[in-house]
Amino acid sequence: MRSTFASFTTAQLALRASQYGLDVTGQNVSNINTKGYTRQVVDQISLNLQNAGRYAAPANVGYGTLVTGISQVRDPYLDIRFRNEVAKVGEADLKLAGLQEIESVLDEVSAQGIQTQLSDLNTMLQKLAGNVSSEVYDNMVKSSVDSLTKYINQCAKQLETIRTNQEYNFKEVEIPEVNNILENIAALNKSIKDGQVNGNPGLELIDQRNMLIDELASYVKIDVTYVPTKISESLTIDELRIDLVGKEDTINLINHMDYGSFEVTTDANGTIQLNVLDKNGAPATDNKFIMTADESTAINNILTEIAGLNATIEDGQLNDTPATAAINQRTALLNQLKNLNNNINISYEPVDISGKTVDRLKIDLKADGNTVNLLNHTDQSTLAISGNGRELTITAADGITTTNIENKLLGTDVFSQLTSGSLKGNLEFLNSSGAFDGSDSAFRGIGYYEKMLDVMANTLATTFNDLNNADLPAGTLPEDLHNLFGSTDGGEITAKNICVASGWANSDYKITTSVPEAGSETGSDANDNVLRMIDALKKDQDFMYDINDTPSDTTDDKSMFTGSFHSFVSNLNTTLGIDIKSVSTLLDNYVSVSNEIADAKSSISSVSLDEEGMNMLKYQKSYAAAARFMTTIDEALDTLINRMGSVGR
Amino acid sequence: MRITTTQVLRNYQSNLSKTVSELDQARNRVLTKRNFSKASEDPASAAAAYKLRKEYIETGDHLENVRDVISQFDAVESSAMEMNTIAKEANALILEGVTGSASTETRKTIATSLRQMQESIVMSANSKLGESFLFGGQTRDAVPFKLVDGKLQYYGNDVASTDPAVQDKLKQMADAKVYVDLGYGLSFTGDDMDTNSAFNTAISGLNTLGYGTTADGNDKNLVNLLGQVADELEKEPIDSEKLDELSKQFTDAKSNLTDFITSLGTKSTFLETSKTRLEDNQTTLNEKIVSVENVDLEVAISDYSWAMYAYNAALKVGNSILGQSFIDFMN
Repeated sequence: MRSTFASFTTAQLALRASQYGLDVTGQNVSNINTKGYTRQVVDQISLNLQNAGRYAAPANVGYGTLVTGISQVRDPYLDIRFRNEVAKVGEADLKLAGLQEIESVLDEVSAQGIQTQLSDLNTMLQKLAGNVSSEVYDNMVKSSVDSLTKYINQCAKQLETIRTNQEYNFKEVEIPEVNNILENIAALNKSIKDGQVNGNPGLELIDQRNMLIDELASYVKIDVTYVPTKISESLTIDELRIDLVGKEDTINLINHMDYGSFEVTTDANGTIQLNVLDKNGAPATDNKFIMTADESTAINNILTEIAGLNATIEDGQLNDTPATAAINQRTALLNQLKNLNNNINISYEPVDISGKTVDRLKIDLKADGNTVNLLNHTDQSTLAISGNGRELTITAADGITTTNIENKLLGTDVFSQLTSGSLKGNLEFLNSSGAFDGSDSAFRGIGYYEKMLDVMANTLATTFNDLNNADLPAGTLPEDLHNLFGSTDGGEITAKNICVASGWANSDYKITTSVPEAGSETGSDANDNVLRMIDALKKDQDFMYDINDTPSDTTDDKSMFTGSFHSFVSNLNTTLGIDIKSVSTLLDNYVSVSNEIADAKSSISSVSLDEEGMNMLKYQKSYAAAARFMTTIDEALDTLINRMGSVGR
Repeated sequence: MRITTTQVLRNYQSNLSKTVSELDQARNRVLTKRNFSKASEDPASAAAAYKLRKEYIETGDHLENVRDVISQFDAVESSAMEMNTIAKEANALILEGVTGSASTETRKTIATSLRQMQESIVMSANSKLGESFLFGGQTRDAVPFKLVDGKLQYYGNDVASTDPAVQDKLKQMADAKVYVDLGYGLSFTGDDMDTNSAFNTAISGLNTLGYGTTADGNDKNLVNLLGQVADELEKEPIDSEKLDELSKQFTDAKSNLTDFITSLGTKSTFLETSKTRLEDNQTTLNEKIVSVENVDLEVAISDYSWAMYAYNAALKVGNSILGQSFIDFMN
C-alpha cells in the first residue's frame, strides 16, 4: 500500500534528478574543449519499491526516479583499435624522422656531394692523362682526392652525430617519458581506486588515465585489461593491467598499483639494448611466482612459528582448554603471511582424533596454475629462492620431494619482441642495418648507411691503391707501398678516417702513370696506368663487406653492390629516397586510419552543443514539472488535511 | 553518425594543414623551378638525374680532351707543313745541284743552303705547344732531336744507327703511344687497353722524318739525307751516281713526310667529327637534365594557382565552420 505522502518523495526525487541532469549538462558544456574529456550522462532508473508480493496492491505505481550514478559514454573497442593504430603511427613517424635526417646528409639532388667529387676526380684524371709529365696535374688529382675523402669523412661524421643525437633522445628523453607515464598511470590507479571505494566514480581521473594510456600506446603495443576485483560484498572495482604485447611473450608493465619500467643499456658492441624491469628493478619475468628471497625467508620463519602453535592449539582443543593466546598469535601470523604474499591460501581440514573433531590448518601456495602445500598441521615445507631470484624450490616436509618453479626471463633485450610503437621505430633505426644483418628484408636503419659508406671508402681505397702499387715488386713492405689512400688513424680504412695517404700527400711519390711491360721502357708521357684509373672509376666494381671482420679470410665476404663508384653512391641515395617514400606512405595510411578511429571516438565521446542545448531545455522543463507536481500534491493534500470532514464546523 | 564540435574542428585543422603543405610544395616548385628537391620526392627521377649529370660531366671531360688534341694536332700540322715547305725547297736545290751544269761554286752554295735547311727542319721538329714537344712521341718533356756533326739524334740515339739494340729502341720509341679518352668507351681487357676504345695522340718525329736505313744501306732520315747530299755536292768531282741515289732517297723521305701530313688531315677530320658528336651529346644530355629535374613552368604556375585557390576556399569555409547551433536558438 502506498503511503499518502509518498508523492512528495517522488517530486523530490524528480527535482533531484533534473538538478543532476542540469549539473552534468553544465559539466559537459564547460569541458567541450578539454583534451581527453569524455561526455558524461546521468544514469537514471525508475523507482518502484513494491514487489509482486502477497500484499501487492492492484495498481502498483512507482515511486519516481532514482539517479544511480554518472557515467561516461565511451566505446572500449574503439580504444583498443585506436591504441593499436597509434602504435603503428609512432613507429613509422620515428623511422621517417630518422631517415629524413640521413637524407639531409646524403642527398645530392640539390647539393654537391660525393658524386660531384667523383666526377671531379674523373675530370682531373683525364687532364692528367693528357699531361702526365707535368707535376701540376698530379697535384690537381691529389687535391681532388683530398676533397673526395673530406666529403666522405663529413658524411660519416654527420651520420655519427645523428646516431648520437638519436641515442641521446631515446635514452634521456623517450625512455624517461615512458617510465613517467607508467608511474603516473599507477598513481592514477590508486587515486581512482581510493575514490571508487568511497563511492566516487572518478570519471575525470579515468579520462586522464585514458589519455596516458593512449600516449603509452604510441610507444609500445599494449594490451589493456580491467580485472574485476572484489573489495567487499557490495563493491567490485576494476583494476587496470597493462601488458606489453610482444611477438611471443607478453610482458607485464602495470598491474594495478605496481608498475615496471624500461631501461636502456649498451652491450659490448655498442648496440643499444632495451630492457623491461619489474617493480623491484629486476628484469621482468613471466611471474609464475612472485616472491623475493627475503620474503621466502620470512615465510619460512612464520611457517615454523605457526607449525609450533598448531601443535599447542590442537593439544588445547583435545584437552578442552582452548589455547586462546596461541590462537590469537596464529591469527596475527596468518595475517602477516597473507600480507607477504597474495597467493597464499589458508584452509582448515576437519580431522577426527580420539572421537573429537579438530580443524587442522593447511597453508598452500598458488603458483603457475598449481597449488603447492607449504604447511599441513605441523608438516612444514621449506621455500628457497635461487637463480637470480627466478627459481623457487619448495622442499616438502619429508626433505625429499621438491617442487621447482621457474620464472622465465622476458625483460632482457626486448627489441626482437617489439611489434610496433615508437620505441621499436627508434631501436630499428639505431640497430637494424638492412642487408648487413644477413637479411635483405631487414629495415635499413642508420647502420646500413654507415656501413655502406665504409664499404665504399674501403673499395675506393683498395682499388686505387692496388693500381698505384702495380709497378712495385711483389712482397713490397706495407710502409714502402705507394698508396694513394690511407687512414688518419693508421687502422683499416673506413668512411670516417679515409684520407690522402701521407706518402703521396708529402710528395714522396706520385701517381704511377705507367706500368711498363716487363723488359720494356716507356716514355715520360706514357699514361696507361692513369687510363686504368679512369677505367676503374667507370667500370663495375664488386663492393664486398667483410662480415666477420677478418680481412685475411674472404670466404665470408658478402657482395653488397656491383656497379661503378658513381652508381654505388647514386644507388645508396635512391634507396634512401625509396625507403623514405614508402615509410611516409605507410605513415600517411596509419595516420588516416587513426584519424578515422579518433573521429569515431569523438563521435561517441565528445560533447555536442546541439545535444547539450536540448538537455538544458529538457532538464529545465522536467525540473519545472517536478516543482509543479510538488505544488499539486501539496494542494491535493491540503484538501485532504484542511478541508475534509469540516462540513458544518 | 553523431557529429560533434571537436570532431569538426579537428578534421578542419588537419585538412587545412594539408592544404597549406600542398600550397607550400607548389610554391617551392615555382620558386626553385625544380621538380623535386630531395631524392625521396621522386626516387626514379633522382636516379635518372644522377646518371645524366655524371654523363654530362664526363662528356664535358671528353670534349675538353678533344679540344686539347685538336689544338695539339693543329700545331703538329703547321710544323709538319713548315718542314714540308723546306723539304720542297731543298728538293729543288738538290735537283739544281745534281744537274752536271752546276759550277763548283754553285754546288757549294747549294750545300751550305742544304745544311741550313737541315737546321731549320730540326728546329721545326723540336717545336713546342705550351710545355710539351710536339714530336716527342711518348716523351714530351725533353728536346727530341739534336743535330750532331750533321747527323740527327733522337733522344741521344743515332737515327741511322746500325746497332740492333739502338734500332730496337728507335722502333719502340716510334711505336710508343699516348692514348686519350675521347668517349669511345675506354675499356681494358685484363691489363691491356682495347686500342680502339681510345685515341692515340703520340707523334714521334721518327715517323715524320724517317729513321733507319734501307736495304742498300742508305739513310731513310730526311735530315741526314740533306747532310749527305750536301757532303756529296761539296766533293770534287761529284759522284753523280751516288748523288742520284741520294736524291731519289730524299724524294722518298719527302713523300713519307707528305704521307704523314695527309694522315694528320684524316685524323683532324676524325677529331672534328668527334667534337661535333660530343657537343651534340652535351646538348642532348642538358635537355634531358632539364626535362627530368626542372619543372614545366606553365604546369607549376597553374598548380600553384590551384593550390592557392584551394587554400583560400578552405579559409573561407573555416570562417563559418562553427556556425550556429541549437543553443543560439534557445529562448
